[in-house]
Amino acid sequence: MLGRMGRAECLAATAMVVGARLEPVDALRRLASEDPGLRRLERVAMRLSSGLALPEALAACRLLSATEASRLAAAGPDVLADGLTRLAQGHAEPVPGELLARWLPLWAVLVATLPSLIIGSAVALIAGSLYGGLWDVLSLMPHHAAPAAWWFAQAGATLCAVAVLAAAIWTLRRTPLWLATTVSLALERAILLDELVHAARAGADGTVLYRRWALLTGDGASVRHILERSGGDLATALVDLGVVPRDAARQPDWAAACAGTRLARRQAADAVTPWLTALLIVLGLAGFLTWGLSPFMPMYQMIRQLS
Amino acid sequence: MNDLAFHIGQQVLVLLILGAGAVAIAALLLIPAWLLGRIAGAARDWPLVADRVAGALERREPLDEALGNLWLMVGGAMRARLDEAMSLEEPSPGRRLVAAGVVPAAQAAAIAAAAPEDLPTLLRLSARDQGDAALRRLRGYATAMLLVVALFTVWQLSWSAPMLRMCRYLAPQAPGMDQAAALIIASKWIAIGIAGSGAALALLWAFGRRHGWWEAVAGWGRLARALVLRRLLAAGVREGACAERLASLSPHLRARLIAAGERGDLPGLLAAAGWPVATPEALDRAFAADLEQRRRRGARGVLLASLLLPLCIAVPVGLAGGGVMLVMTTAQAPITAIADRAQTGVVGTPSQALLHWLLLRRTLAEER
Repeated sequence: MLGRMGRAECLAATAMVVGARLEPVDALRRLASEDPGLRRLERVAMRLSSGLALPEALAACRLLSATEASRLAAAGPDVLADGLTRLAQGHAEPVPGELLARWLPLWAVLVATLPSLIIGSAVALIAGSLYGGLWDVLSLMPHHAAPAAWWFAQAGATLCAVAVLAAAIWTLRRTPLWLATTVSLALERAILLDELVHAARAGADGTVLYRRWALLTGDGASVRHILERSGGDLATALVDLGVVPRDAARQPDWAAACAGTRLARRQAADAVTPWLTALLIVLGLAGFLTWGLSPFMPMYQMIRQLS
Repeated sequence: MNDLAFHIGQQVLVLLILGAGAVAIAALLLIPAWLLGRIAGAARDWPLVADRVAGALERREPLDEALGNLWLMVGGAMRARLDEAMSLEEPSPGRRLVAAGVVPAAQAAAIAAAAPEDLPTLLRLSARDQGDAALRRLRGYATAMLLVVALFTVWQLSWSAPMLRMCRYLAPQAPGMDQAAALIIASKWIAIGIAGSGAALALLWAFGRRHGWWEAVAGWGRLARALVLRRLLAAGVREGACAERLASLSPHLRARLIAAGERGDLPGLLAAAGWPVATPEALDRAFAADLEQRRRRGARGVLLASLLLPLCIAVPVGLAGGGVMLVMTTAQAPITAIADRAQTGVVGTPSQALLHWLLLRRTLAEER
């Protein structure tokens, strides 16, 4: 377990190097010397210089499993960078508030429906048919024919809605102008800045990220002007903007910048967490108390029966 | 089969609307947060600014550069003040920050009067709460709890009026309905009371933050005097000069401080500064003990609030739940009796009972 710590950061940094088409041995050595958290990249660079391919070198340093390495062995730079980024994202420590904000519609549907579905399934298991049997036993309602198919229909509908929402969010997140989260611009700004600093540090092209971030700063024109003034060099622009502080020797302190943006991202996520948690609790409560698998269900039934 | 397909399609549609609606509600919920931020104004970003400026002063970096680097990290209100601070010619960093309105009113006099060697210490004192994770957790927890009550109140208001009408109508046939109505009404008013108090407290908190009241109440001035005194006494400064320096930080204590300074009375000076001890070493110990006591008091407060806050939800939700269950168990018989026929719908929940009641009433009216 301890040997896997920092894996996400190392893979993300390697992905940036590959994606930016940098000479990997030098770039990885530079990153390892600049940031103690990326020290393991020095060993990767050593193995690369001894003639191993990058996926094999990463596997030898326990940053990839043998299966992952063999899957990426024949991949070109773009596919390799994409694959490493995905693996890094998969292993990065998740920020709960960010997960809530990114997938909010999905959580909303799940909290409103799951409690009722679970209880419904328990009733079905106990009484042999959904709802009716147990309520009959308790004499809370007269006999009615509630077939088990009804529960499966509810569960199927929930599953369909979750699948549609997940697919929609997943697809939209891959479009260039889509924001990672639609509920908080401050969180969105913090996420973009964190990704931007990591991209600039690895020398990757972060122009699109920069434009999106500039839009959200509240002074897009000035921020874009600073990038133009620095000749399109992202790292220089971020230093000029003060996002990357300078150390005692007046050199850009990338480790401090990464730590700062990561902290800001976490704090922005923490700031929205109580609001989103409250919303989900109430949706769950409403879904559970109405028992109709959705708070709007009675309204729709009413409309249908009255029409 | 058609019915089942219709039901699934309808359910999926409703759930998709619910998913999209959650995003809309979340955006609406952030409006009060934005409003509170607007009320707090530039003071919201003051701890961050104080921390960064203190660091820049300690590293002897130009103030303009430090303020410029902060520009993208702060809100609109603070940006305007930073712009103003950068445009001022004032040589003293403290007076410059105060003149531009960067410093909250309750601390402005002390920051403006601080000697250059004391300024980073006082600025760090202002940024003290920034790293207080327990306080941040408590604030988030309290926000979540009060929001749950507020949202629950809104949701309850959407169904309580027709539900209470039904309870009143059915009360002659089912005695439990009166109690159910009483529970629902009590729950509604308690929830409104808690949500209203929470909103009022949040507004008060934002106003207080704008003016720096809460730091003042927490004894910022007393801690600042102790920090300045410790430095002065360690440097061997005499009582008279110490008194002058402290009097400039706390003008309301001037008379007592100057009198003690003129007498050369160190215990009197320390007592006038709010630290009733006799020697510099005792001041160090008292200062450390005070910080520890604050930490413990804070931890106890967080624990107490964590235990009490769930009651804000438990009481109204519990009462509403009780009322709802009572409706569920007593509505069935009178509705069936009124309809004078076998119940065909699912009256397992209050909303379904309500729906059935509304439909039944319509049918009865048509039959008449």
